Amino acid sequence: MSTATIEKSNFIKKSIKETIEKMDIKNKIGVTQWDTDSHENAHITVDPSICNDCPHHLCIAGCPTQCFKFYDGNMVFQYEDCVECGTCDIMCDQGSVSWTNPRGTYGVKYVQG
Amino acid sequence: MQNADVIIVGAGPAGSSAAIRLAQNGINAILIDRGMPVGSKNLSGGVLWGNDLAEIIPNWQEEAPLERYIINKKVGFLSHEDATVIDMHFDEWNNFPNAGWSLLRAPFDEWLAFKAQEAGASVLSGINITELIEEDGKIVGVKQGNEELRAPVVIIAEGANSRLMLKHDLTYDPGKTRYDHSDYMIGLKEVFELDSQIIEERFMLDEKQGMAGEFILGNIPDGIKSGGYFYTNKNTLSVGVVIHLDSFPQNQESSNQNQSYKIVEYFKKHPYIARLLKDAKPIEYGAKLIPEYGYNKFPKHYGNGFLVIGDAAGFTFSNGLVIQGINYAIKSGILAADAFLEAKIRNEFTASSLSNYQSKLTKSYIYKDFKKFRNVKKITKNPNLFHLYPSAINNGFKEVLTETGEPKGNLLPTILKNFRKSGANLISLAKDALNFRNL
Repeated sequence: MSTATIEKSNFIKKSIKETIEKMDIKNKIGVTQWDTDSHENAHITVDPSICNDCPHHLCIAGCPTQCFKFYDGNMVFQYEDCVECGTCDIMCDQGSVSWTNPRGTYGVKYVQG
Repeated sequence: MQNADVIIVGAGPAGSSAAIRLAQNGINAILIDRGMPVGSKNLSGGVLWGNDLAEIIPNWQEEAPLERYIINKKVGFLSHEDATVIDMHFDEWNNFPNAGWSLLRAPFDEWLAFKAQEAGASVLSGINITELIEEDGKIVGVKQGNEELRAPVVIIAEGANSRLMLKHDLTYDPGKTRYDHSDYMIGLKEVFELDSQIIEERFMLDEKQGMAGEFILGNIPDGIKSGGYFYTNKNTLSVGVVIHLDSFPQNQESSNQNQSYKIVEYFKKHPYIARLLKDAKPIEYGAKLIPEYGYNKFPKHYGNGFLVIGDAAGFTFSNGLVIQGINYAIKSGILAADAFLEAKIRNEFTASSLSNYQSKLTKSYIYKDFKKFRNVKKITKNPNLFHLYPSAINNGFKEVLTETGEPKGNLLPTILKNFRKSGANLISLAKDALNFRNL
């Protein structure tokens, strides 16, 4: 087997990479159930003014449901799709994320788990 | 006024097991969970190894809502397109009590909390405990907002992301206000529906048998360290990844490119995995944190008026081949209950009276496992494990096994050659080999 074949197989297929880059996570989380609390009771708050100077935006990398997005130089956060894992609280070392559990009964409702 | 003898915060396997053991001994225990129904906040990959639950529910393997007992275990190395998978069948795993069961946590945890209620514990669901009540240096109860519940002992069983441990400064680092990303992994999970007959044909299983597969992922970009898992249930599949949080590159460009949910796709779209998922329909998506404190960074496990069990206590173990937490949770719940029962005889719930829990832990296989494998992170966080070995192993086997009309190389030299070709030098290989003693 030629070296070229081996090296080629060390790279992911371009088609797969492109599909993954274009994926919309919001389609995927549509099957999960929530009982969402009102805005004034949001269990996570973000101070976007801090996020502009953040060197890493690791909240975006970590969040499994894309609750964080950086748009036009602004951090946009929405709590509604949160599955309450706590990853953003760990990832944010800039003091922007404040994290609590949702009020009792509210938030994600796993049927399978 | 005391509302109970013990209040347990969190009705996962740890909290419910503690409640069952306490109630079976006539103790008035309140088990509180923020989910409604109990179990609706609970998620994990989904295999329970071990038989610790038999201590409190002898016939649990017949009674619990379990999926399939594991007969086939796979451990695999996935590179971009290729896979080398070790496929294990241990016939003894057919025998009762079975070695491990796949399960889904929402129904399983609801059942376990029901068993606690049946034994005599009070189960309160849909209540989020925000604070412990501390008086004269002792924990004497819990609070939801202004509502109080009081008991001489509180058992913290809140799980991986315990807010009470942070709030009351019970973690390894005093003064910490959030958990450290080097101590955590994130587990993401999708559940897929697939006809049970198709599952049995596809994975060569009998009616009740199941498969549990764990895979080292060498196909993830930018140095991110991740493993994949694939478990069969009755008529569903549990599929997902576990990612070391400290392996995400710390720059904006990467964060906008490499999100955790894309890592799941890299796993699912790998050609070896994709064919196993054919025609399976996604029915639920979720995620959870996985603590990886290790033996040297355990949080407080007991103190004046409190005990800590399960994930909140850091009892999750992974070595790349297995990742386990449910059995440790159950065992630690039982040990905490037993420590309470002994303290109850003395009618004293100070740290020194509750320190029995620590000695029970130290004698148990939980601490023995953690102590023995205290350096396991040298392997599980070794970048070579993810970004060198899978491709070197796959390319080595592929080169030896593919007929090209050229003379074949010998197996080991060919694999070693591929290790070197993938960028390893002999010294780093030797160092890794030494580290594998920790496995």
